[in-house]
Amino acid sequence: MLRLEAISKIYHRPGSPPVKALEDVTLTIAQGEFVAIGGPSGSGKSTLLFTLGGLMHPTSGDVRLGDTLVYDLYPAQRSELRLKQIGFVFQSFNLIPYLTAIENVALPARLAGKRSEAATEAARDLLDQVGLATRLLHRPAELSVGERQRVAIARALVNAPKLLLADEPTGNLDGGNADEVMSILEGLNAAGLTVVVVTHDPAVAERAGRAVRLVSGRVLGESLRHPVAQAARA
Amino acid sequence: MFALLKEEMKRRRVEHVLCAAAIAVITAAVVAQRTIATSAEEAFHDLAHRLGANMLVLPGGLDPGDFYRQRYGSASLPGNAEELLRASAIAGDLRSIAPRLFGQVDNAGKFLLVVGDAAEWPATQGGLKPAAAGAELSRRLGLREGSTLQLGGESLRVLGIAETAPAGLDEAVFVSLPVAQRVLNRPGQINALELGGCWCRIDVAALAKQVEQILPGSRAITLAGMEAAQKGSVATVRRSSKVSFAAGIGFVAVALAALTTAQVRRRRREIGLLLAVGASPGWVSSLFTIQAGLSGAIGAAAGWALAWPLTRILSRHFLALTLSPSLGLLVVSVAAGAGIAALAAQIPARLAASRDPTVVLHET
Repeated sequence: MLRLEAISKIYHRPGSPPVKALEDVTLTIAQGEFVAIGGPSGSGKSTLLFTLGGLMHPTSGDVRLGDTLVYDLYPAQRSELRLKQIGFVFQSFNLIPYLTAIENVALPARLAGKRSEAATEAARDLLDQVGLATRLLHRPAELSVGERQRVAIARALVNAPKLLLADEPTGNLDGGNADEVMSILEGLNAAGLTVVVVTHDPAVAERAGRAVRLVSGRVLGESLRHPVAQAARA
Repeated sequence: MFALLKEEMKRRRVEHVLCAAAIAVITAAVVAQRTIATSAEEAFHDLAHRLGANMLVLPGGLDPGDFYRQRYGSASLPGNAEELLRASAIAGDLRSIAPRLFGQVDNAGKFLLVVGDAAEWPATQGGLKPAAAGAELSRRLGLREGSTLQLGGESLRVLGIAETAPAGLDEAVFVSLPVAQRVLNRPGQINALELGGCWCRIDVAALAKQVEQILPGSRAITLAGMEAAQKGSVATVRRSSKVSFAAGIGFVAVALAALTTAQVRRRRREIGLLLAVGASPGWVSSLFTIQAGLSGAIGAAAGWALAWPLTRILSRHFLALTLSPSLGLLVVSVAAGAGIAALAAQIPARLAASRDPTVVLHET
């Protein structure tokens, strides 16, 4: 489903030496896999996730989603690809503070061209699924951090993406909330959604079907825990 | 998009209201000035039209200064001057030709000013010739409507008092041209022609020269110089109007560009998020462009409303008229406000669209 071929990313900053964030990374993620990308801080995990999601042009190499070479697309086409096929969840939630929970979730659906009623209906269903049916009209500031992350997950799912990318989704959460968020992600994966999680938390990586370890921008190793991952590797 | 626009404008209403108020003040000033300038232009045009439409033709030997000092002398114009003009190539440009005979006549030891006019006079009973008296003359001689007056062997009946006679002629007696010619003992003579016409679109000075050619020995006096001065004034008003209009546009553009730039900086995280979840750069750019356009349109509409009392006060003060801005100016103001604002927001809007979402999403 998703294939990275010899991806390298070098950051050039004026007055500083170039920084190699990713070096010759090749990775294949099959449909329905739950992959955790782990590694120490500065190992290139987030860069890899953004590159996977079509947000960051690699210095070299290709990213292929299905039959599509992601970085051969025009920016507007890449935007549409992200809008319809990829869902993002961020560590710091990134909810729009002045919109209610349901408006935040409905936003990508509206961007995708859904009518207001249909987008709101889809948002309501998803918030119900993540246990926030009673918090629809609350703004982010009125929600707990765990609830905010669940709103962010619902927003990522509103356009029924094929791929969910999560950048440290439990990084700002306490144990209980982190467990709840991971349970939601596992449930989504069990329902067939491909999930890629960037984490530095070994406990989170443990719950993925496959864990990829990055060190200094290179894939240092992989471990398989799930039959889907094993089948994909085979 | 409109939910985002509405919420953003609601949340930052003080900022938006202040910006719209600044635009409104500028728009009001520009609209009021434009309305007054347009009216002044029309007034000048009308005045120029009226001034330019009257040409006085005098005999060449009669100095205009002497004419206005009522020293008419004996010089005269050709008796058939009216026929010559009506038969000429410029007849189409002449709406009215009024032959006149001006002169002084001795009346019981005092000179009395007589003006003969070729206009049709009403008939009177008893063989008396119709006449009108200037207001000052009527007071001096105790004349009233119906009074009789003996002048140069002619018996006249005063049909009316000319309360609004032109300056210097309020001591004159106005009679028909043949009566004046008899009273002044100048049979068949005239010493002035007043020509009228709609000469806005033609060269009045050239027309005067043609009149002098058709009536040899005549001098055509126009107010073309004054007309030119009036036109100069109109041009000055137009120029100042353009300058203030340009300054207004500049101010609105700078205000909106500054507001949009501030919004783009403040909302960088939101922009990053929108781009990350799939909003296209064009959509993000449109969001800020439309928002600026809305601010510009609202400010301009408020400015037009504010221009109402402003225009009325200023027009009363400067033109002694009560003017109001037209509805057409409302449409123009709103369209211009929205357009200028949208254009001014282009650079910050494009800046917003080109933001790297991965950078701002990593900011905590």
